[in-house]
Formats: sequence, structure tokens, C-alpha cells
Amino acid sequence: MNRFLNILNGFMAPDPNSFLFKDEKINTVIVVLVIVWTIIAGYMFFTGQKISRIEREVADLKEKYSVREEEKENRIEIQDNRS
Amino acid sequence: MKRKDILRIVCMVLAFGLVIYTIVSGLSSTLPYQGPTNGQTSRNFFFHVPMWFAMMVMGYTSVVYSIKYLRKMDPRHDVLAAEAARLTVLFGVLGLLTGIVWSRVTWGQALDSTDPGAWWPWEPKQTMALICVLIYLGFFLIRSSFSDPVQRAKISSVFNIFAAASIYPLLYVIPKVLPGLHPNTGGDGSALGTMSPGYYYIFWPAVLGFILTAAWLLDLRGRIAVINYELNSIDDE
Repeated sequence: MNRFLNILNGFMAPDPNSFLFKDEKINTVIVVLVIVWTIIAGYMFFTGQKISRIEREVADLKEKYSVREEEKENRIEIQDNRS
Repeated sequence: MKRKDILRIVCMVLAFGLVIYTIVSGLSSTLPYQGPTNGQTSRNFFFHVPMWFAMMVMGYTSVVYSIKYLRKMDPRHDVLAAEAARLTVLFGVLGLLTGIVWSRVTWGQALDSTDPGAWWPWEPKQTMALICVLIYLGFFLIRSSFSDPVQRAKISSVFNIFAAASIYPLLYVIPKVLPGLHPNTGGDGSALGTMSPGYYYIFWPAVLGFILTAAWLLDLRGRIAVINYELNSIDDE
């Protein structure tokens, strides 16, 4: 069991407090940059999802609009034929 | 899933992963000694140079859309050209900012912070890069001065061809013949050619990462612009 815990300990993340604020200041810079980039990338990813949804809605809207236009043209044709 | 969606996901994952790799390994790995002037600031190489690569890729993408517009007269291409030009300015400004910070601690080391020369020494390559960004800002000035969309698209597309043609001479040819502080100027060898092999493993992934980030941004902004254009055209009809 102890041996297993020792192996596991080798894979353990370092203590965050000493990793960020004691060992090297560059670690703090790296962590901050990684968090900022992750937030930016996440925002871009969710914006992409929203855009895809809007694209589908716009495609539906265009389809409905073209159907209406066709109906209008048909009505005009029918009226012309009657007259 | 469509082929375009798969490409988008691959682009997103690669851009995200490569930029994380650049930040972590670029700032933490042990690098060959770069002399007393550069020292640890040489890590900026992994951010400053890829910004210019991304800027150039966006500039040339923009001109491809402009040429497509002039050939087919599809307004969507004009909208995409404008979005790519916007990203050209964005990455150009980021390249300038990372360059200014770097030059402050290397070229302007001996100067006082209040001395403008410490921040901007009017070095030929730096100045030409600024002119290049200003040319792309002129693209938007031209676009804003026409109310007729067809005239605006045509004239800005032609201007874009000249803007793209100026990128390479301004960033590489003119600085190469003028004496300057920047590497790869005044007959110096290429900075990439003299780079230690240890740098390659971070530098080229960084270049790809930032180019893919620019492509990701272009995809998002381009799609928004095309949606806007389509909604406006429905309204007009």
C-alpha cells in the first residue's frame, strides 16, 4: 500500500501555494496566461456555437421568405389570368 | 457532421493546444544563452514573430477574397476581405506592441523611461511595420468614405491588392537594405537562420498556433458578417 502511495505521490501536482508564489514567479505568469487564454478560447468556442444556431435560423428565415415570395408571385399570376 | 465542421474542430483544438504549449514551454523551458542583451527576453521571440506571421497570412487571405470579389462580384467575398483585413490590423498591432516591449529592454536599455527613443527608436523595420499597419488602416478609411456598397467594395478591393503587395517589401526588402538594430536588417543574416535548434521546437508550433487562432477568429467574424449581410439583403428586398 505504502509503495502504491509513493508511486501516486510521484504523479501528484505540487502544492499550489509554493508552486505559484514561492518557487518561481514565472509559474504565476504562466498560470495567469493559460487561464486568460482558456477563457478567450472558451468564449470563442461558445460564440461559434451561437453563430451556428443563428445560421440555421437565418437559413429557415430565407426559406420561409422565398416560399412567401413564390406564393405572392403565384397569386399575382392567378389574378392576371382571371382578369 | 460536415467536412467544414470537422475542419473547424481540428483548427480550434490545434489553436488552443499549440498556444497553451507556446505559453508553457516558451516561458518555462531552458533555452540556449542568447547573450547579455537578449537574455531571458529572447522568449518573446515565440510571441512577437508568430504575430507577424499571422498578420501576413491574414493580409494575403484578405487579398484572395478581394480578388475573388473582383472576379465574381459576390458581396460575401468583400465582407470576408474586410474581416480578414481587420484581423491583419489586430495582429499587426499585437506584433508592434510585443516589439515595443522587447525593444525597450534591449535597444533602449541605457535610456531613461521618459525618453521616447527608449520606446520607439524609429528603427527601419519597426517603422516599416508601422507603415504597413497604417496602410491597412487606410483600407478601412477608404471603405468608410463610400456610401454605395458596390463602389466601396470595388475600390477597397483594388486598394487591398496594393496593400497586400506592400507587405513583403515593407517588412523584408526595405529593412534589409537599410542599417538598423533589428535582426535581419542592414545585410544581417536571417534571425531564423541563426536560431538555435532548441528554439525550433517551440517557434514553429507557436507560428502554427497563432495562425490557426487568426483563422479561427476569421471564421467567427466572417460568419457573423455574412449573417448580417444576408439579413440586410432580406430586409432590402
